[in-house]
Amino acid sequence: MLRYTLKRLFQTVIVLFGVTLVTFIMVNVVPGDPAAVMLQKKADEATIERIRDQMGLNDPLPAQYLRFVKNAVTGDFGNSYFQKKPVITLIAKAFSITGSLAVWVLLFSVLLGVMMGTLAAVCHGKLADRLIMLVSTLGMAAPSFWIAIVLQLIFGLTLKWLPISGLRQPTAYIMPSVSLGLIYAASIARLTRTNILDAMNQDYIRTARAKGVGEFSVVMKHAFKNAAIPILTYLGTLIKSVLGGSVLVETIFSINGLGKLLVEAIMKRDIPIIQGCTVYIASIFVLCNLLIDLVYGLIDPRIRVANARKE
Amino acid sequence: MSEENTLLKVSNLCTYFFTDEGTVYALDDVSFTLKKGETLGIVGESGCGKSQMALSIMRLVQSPPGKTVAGSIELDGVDILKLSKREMKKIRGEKVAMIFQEPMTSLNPVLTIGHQITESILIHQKTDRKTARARAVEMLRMVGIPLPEKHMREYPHQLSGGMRQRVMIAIALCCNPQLLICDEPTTALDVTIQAQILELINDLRRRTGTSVIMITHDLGVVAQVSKNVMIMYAGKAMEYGTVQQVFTDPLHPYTKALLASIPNAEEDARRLHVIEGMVPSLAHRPDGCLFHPRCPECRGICRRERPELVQLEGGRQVRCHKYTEAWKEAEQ
Amino acid sequence: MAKHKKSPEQVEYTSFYHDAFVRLKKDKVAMVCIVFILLLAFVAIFASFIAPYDQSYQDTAHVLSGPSAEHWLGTDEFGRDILSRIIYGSRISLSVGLVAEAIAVTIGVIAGAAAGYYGGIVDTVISRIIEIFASFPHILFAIVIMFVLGTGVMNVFIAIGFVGWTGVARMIRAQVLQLKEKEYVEAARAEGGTDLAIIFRHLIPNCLSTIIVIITMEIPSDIMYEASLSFLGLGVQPPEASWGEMISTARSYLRTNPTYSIFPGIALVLTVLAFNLVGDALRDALDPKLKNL
Repeated sequence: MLRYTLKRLFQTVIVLFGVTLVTFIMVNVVPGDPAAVMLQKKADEATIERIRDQMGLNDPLPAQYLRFVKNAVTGDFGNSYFQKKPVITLIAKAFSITGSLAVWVLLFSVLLGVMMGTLAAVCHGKLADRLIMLVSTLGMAAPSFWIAIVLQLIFGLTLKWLPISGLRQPTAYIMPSVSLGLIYAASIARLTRTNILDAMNQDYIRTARAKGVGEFSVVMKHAFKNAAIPILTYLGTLIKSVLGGSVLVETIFSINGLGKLLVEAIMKRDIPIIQGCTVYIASIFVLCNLLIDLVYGLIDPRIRVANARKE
Repeated sequence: MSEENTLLKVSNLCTYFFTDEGTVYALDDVSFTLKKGETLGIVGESGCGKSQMALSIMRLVQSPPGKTVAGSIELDGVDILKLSKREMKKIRGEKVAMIFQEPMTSLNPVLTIGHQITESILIHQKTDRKTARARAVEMLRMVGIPLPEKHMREYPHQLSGGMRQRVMIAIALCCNPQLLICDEPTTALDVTIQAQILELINDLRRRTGTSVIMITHDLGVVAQVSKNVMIMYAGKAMEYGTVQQVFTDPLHPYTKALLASIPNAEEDARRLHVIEGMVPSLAHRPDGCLFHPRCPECRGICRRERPELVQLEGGRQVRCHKYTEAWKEAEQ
Repeated sequence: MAKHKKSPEQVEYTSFYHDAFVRLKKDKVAMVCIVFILLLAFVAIFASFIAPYDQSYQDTAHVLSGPSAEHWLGTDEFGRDILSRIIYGSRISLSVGLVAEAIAVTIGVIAGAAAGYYGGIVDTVISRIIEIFASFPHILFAIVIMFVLGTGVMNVFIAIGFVGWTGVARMIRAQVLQLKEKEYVEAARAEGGTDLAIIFRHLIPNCLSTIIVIITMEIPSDIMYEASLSFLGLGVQPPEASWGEMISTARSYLRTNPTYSIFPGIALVLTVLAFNLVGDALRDALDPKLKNL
């Protein structure tokens, strides 16, 4: 287990380096001079040249990359071109908002999805099952930004129950969380149902029934614990998708989170913010995946041994 | 035969599967009795309905499509087919326990061995966790697992197949059931382990007085552990008698063929006897005797009429036209 | 020796695809969806004949009007017919699926097959690269690529295609890892077949059913990504019609013409739904083991 953990840590470090490299290369192939962007065409050539020197843009690219990584490790992504603040300060502030939204989205989608999926599996083939599957099939086809607008129309403009923008009061979290979480709740519901049904066909379920275990316990303990493993694996992808999807929802609900920060930075070509946000979000995902992989071993005893053997 | 001595009385049991391809007659009009402390072997080829026999007694037939449509199963004088779901749950594991064919998949991979044994004890006995654990350790020791305390904390994949089957036996016997149903308990195991497991089941039966139904396709297993044997074919009981009777003087042509197919060291070892043909599909059964397409002694009546069970002296039963009056008359 | 040498897996495959087709034909929902997609493709191709108005025709007398006899689904802020713009928008949505998937599958199959076939250091390097690229949320990565390439329809296709290759590569790698242990691959190797010949003649054709399933499963998400990019103003640019861009514009007129935002969304949902259901049905048909899942 220790060897596995160390190997996984080593892989994670390599991937994180790769993430910075990919981001750096992409941002640096963009046509246009960052210094000129920053000064917004108001400056003469000499000023631009001076700024370029100051920003280290005249150094060879590998040197620039090394400096970028060295600074990134300490959390320093430079200063925003326009807001004149350290990028990490802006990201930290935006992330506290996106993070709280993401937690609500995850809670909403996992709870609803697992509940609906379990219910569908228990009622396999009955009306409730079909209804849940129908709704989740529809839910998987509906883009979050459109659901957000429909919700705004109904609950914001028509019924006036919920605020249509910002996150100032607790109720403001409802619409963004629902519109972003619905698609994930739908896929979790399907995943849960599939895995519980799969587990219910296994021999150990028959054993449990033969022992006189009640049907509730059969589903919730014997089947669910086995079905939970693929759901946990999906959680990594889910966190990534929620962080990505927040870009859209934050734009719609005027939430000053990471997504909105990034989109606005792209519109203004504020490169340090783009670089910082991209590396930051990818790193969160990579670290979450590492965490899930390690937790995985705790839940599924078979993985623990398989890993020990594989290493 | 005194009634008090009878533990299980199965009469005219019919379990059918209603599938898209038609009705599958998994069990058709099966009857037998089992006395306390005795062992009954149920023998047949794969797909003859013997596993559905076990599941029907547990009332665990996959439903839908399966359903026990007729008959009665009297356990200690109570027809368990008439019990409510809640009452049936009390029977399972407490009065009737079961061991399955696949020890590799029959234990839950994500729960510890200890958890899986104590779970059963906690369901059926009013006791606390500590006592249940102590009982579980005792059971593991009884089924011959070394270092039971250590294995309590382990997961199924950490044990070998034979060890897992011992755990299954421990789970089955932890509440002192009156009846233990073993569905091919040794088929998936190595030959040496097979003998050990059978010996263990036999030994525990003697010690606890539990009745055993041993379901197998292996006549050798039956010879080792049972007193009586029932030969099944295509969902019907073909022959019933003591092991002694059936093995030394088989009556039904199917039983004869089964016995002949056992490789015999004394005989010509170069030739393996096989029964020609295959078990008929239980959805599309032949007319007449179900065995007639493969029967070497088949006659006209066998193709036309379903044979009834013929009662013979010594409690033997056989389902074959050969032993009816009509046949004997025709022979003369 | 016979001229037309058929490798054993080819013989098996003709009947395999035939069986799959028979299974698919039995699935009524899938057939309805296929008809819907074909209809949509027809509408997209002949948009200029079918659409009641040109996508940029401005009916200045009716600006932001609701559904009416002249404009079935109403008009937008310039008096353009919403139905016509939805019809023209279907061109983008359908072609993004084709072009982006072509890009993703090309990169993904080559990378995945190479990683699975060669193993060792090649596999380690490619797998790590896949992992790096898969670390970025898709939509975010597409946004950054759009930033690099600049807006425009073709760039949207490239960005979405480039985002999708990692998933394809992973699945193909896993499949090739299994396939290369098969007897016919070893036989081909024993006969002295070159690596490239084995990969292209034996391994990739046997991954075909997986590739088909991946394509149909990925097309709906590609359509969603395009809509999302255009919604953010980073994709298809006005005046060209795209569903995402229409929904985005409609946001400013939620009070004056609420149905404006609804209709392009319905078109989007129906299209994605149809592709999703066909994808599910194809997976079931091509892989009977996964049925009922």
